[in-house]
Amino acid sequence: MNAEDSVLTIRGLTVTYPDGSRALRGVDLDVRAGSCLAVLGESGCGKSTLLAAVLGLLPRHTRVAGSVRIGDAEQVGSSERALRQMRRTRLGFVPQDPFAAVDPLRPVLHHVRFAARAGRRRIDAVAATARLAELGVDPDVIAARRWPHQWSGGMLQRACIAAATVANPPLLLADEPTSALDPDAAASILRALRTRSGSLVLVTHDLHAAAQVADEVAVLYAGHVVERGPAAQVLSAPRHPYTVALLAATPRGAETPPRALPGAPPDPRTDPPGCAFRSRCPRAQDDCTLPPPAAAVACHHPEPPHR
Amino acid sequence: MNAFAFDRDRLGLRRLGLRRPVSPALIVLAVLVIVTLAPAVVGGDPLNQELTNALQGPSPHHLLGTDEYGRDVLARVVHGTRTSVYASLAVVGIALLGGIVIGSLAAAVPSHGGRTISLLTDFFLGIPGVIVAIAIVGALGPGTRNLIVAFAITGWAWYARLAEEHARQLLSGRVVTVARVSGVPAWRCVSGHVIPHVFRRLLVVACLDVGWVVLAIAGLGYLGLGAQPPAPELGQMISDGQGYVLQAPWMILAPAGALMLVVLPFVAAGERVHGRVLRV
Amino acid sequence: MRAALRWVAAFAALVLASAVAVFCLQLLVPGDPAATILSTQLGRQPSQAEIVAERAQLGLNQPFPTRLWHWIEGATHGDFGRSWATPGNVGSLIWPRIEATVRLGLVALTLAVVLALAGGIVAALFRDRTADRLLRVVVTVLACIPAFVLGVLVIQFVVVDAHIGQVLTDGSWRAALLPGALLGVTIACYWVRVVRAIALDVLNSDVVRTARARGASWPTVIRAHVLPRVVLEFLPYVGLGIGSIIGATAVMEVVFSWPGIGAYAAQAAVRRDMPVLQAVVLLSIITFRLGTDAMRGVGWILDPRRRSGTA
Repeated sequence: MNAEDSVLTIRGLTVTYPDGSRALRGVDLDVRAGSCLAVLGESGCGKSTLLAAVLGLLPRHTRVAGSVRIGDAEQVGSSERALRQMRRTRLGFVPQDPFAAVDPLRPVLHHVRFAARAGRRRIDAVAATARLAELGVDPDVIAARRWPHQWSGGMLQRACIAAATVANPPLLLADEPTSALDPDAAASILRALRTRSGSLVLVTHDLHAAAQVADEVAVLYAGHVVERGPAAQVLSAPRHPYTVALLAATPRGAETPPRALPGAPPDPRTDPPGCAFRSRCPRAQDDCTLPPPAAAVACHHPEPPHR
Repeated sequence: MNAFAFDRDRLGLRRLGLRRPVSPALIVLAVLVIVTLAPAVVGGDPLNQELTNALQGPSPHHLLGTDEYGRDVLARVVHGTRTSVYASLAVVGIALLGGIVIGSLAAAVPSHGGRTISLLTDFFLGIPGVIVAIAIVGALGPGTRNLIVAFAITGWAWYARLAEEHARQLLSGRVVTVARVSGVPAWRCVSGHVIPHVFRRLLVVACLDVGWVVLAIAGLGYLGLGAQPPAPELGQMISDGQGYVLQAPWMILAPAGALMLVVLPFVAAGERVHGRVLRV
Repeated sequence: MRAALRWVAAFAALVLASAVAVFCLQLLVPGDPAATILSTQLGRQPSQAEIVAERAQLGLNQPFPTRLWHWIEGATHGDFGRSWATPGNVGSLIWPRIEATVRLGLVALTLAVVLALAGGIVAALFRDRTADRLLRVVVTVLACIPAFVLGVLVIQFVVVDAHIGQVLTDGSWRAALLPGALLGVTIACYWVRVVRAIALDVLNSDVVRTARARGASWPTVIRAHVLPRVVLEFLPYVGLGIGSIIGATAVMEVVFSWPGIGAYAAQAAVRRDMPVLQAVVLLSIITFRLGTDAMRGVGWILDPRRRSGTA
């Protein structure tokens, strides 16, 4: 993969919080121009930390090691001013809960226009309304309902997408954008996110969402990327035991009841040697105490590839 | 763990227990003990006049000097502080007990009765405390005892409202519902479960209040409405001292310093304990 | 519209109830008010004839309900009856002094709010760093000093002793700056902690996080998102604090010989002049209520959710 092709290149990213817990350990990821990467994992695996790290919004005194390149600019160690510039022009952020993220004291249009100002572009109410209409929000509704608390979750999330894309950033970061919405709204939001020429990093625990829109999938467990590859391959024929368990735990209709995974992820303050999934893995063996291979499937005993 | 948190507690410090708050009740107890024993320890007579010795600076015989009547300032300060602390405790005690009873009744008495009591609490909450206290003392006459009555009257509503809110929560909670279903009479629920719980919660707030009630008492004392001369009263002493600033600044500094020292532990403790959460 | 009418009705009911309650303060006077007034004035025990004459003069020979009715009737147009201690109408004694008190109170309130907001937000922004720690120490120490003591200390040791600045007692805005500033600082000390807690919540909110993720600078975020929300949550505390400000202002007026009604009420208390005290208390209650309702009104204006009744 060449540098011009890649919108986001992460190498060896390790994030340690001030209290000593390590949220990400040596993460490697690539996002190509125009593609969608879904980052999957259960709560606490480091998904949100990943986004915070890319945005440069980690709390003070957090130790960050490794490299995060957005386009051709190195983000780790950049000044706050450079980071702001990156956030305005190269990145877009879609939050999890639109009702919590949109300022309830200001009109929705203001939210979209304010984002434009942050991106150094002034857009007026007409342009903002047009942009919302492009995303499927009825202009009559925009005129009739001025305040965020009057909008539905799905509509408000579209407003967030409008705000995130107003400066047309090459990379969009979405933090579980559908978890606060009902399934109908969720599906259309994902479509809205995908129908854009730029790249998308979708952080989610919802495998269905990933299946709908992702080109590539990376599975995160306890701060490690345990498996990555094309979406169709990983989601239909997972090879890492954790991915297998994750898919098995997903509700998939009446015939296949979900099977929960016993145990819990390791304490992020500790540093267990070898594979982090060892304690819960049904296929664990003695050599799992050795560090897993740095490959697309980080496991000593992966499922054999399907034919 | 919130990845985007603007800032987080330095969890390391907490583990060392450096942030453990001191119980306000302990502070009240400590202050009470100190203030009760201090006059005996310090010695001296707050009322003994030695006119030939008036307005003398600090000396081995009078550690904080003498006032315009030759009285020992240290002894007066120590006695005056004790009076103020006792008075504050009386105010808070009466207001707390009265407030708990009325607040619990407001929550426990059904329909109109409870609402009327609650309305009464609302009315008293809308009273600006110090001004009304001044008026009450104006009616009853000056003196420590009337000061206590005045502040208790203006202060109970605060505790009543808090007690009412807590009591409502408890009364609709699981423990009381189970008890009622099992046939325990309502008044037993209130006296046996609600009131002790409410008391424990409000005790923290009340202990912290002792501090600033002392300041309020001193304020009225400054106006001449507190303990009457020749009895020592911190506020009154500050007022008297204003006439002698150039010759005897200790007459103001001593009572002012005593006031601050007495209140400091309460204010510092209030830093740690969460402030009153008021839903308005 | 209906809400406004309801408010007016509630307010009128409150004023009426307060007026009755305030007038009943008279009943607290032990024994015969006429005797008390006379003995305070004359410095000796008055004779029976003097007491009877005084009762007639003070209008105390009429039955209580009649006096109550007269008083309330008069109060509706600003006539609070005759003072017990001085020959004169209570109204003419206190109305001229109200302006000075209002000036002092407004200076104190404005300064307190501004200082509390600035201090609390700064402390939250720099949480646990030097600025925050320093501020908290200063606030803790200052919170131990009641405003009137601070006033006395400043007057005596700064102005009189060291000849820095001067104390003006003409009741003007300029003269109100020093006492108002000292009052405001003391009150702000109690509010800073609250504002800091509120600000920390707001700074950790999704709104702020999203705005920063979009690349907004800190000054923009604070101006556009933090300040409005902190102010909104802080308003109820300001409303409540007005009651304390009224009281603290009264004592401060005595310290600074300020020509306001607080100082006059303090005098009246010493002289047991109930009509004056009644008038001042009633006006204070009304001011307190208007203040808290005004804060609620401001909150209503700022928060669109309250306007549609969903908040």
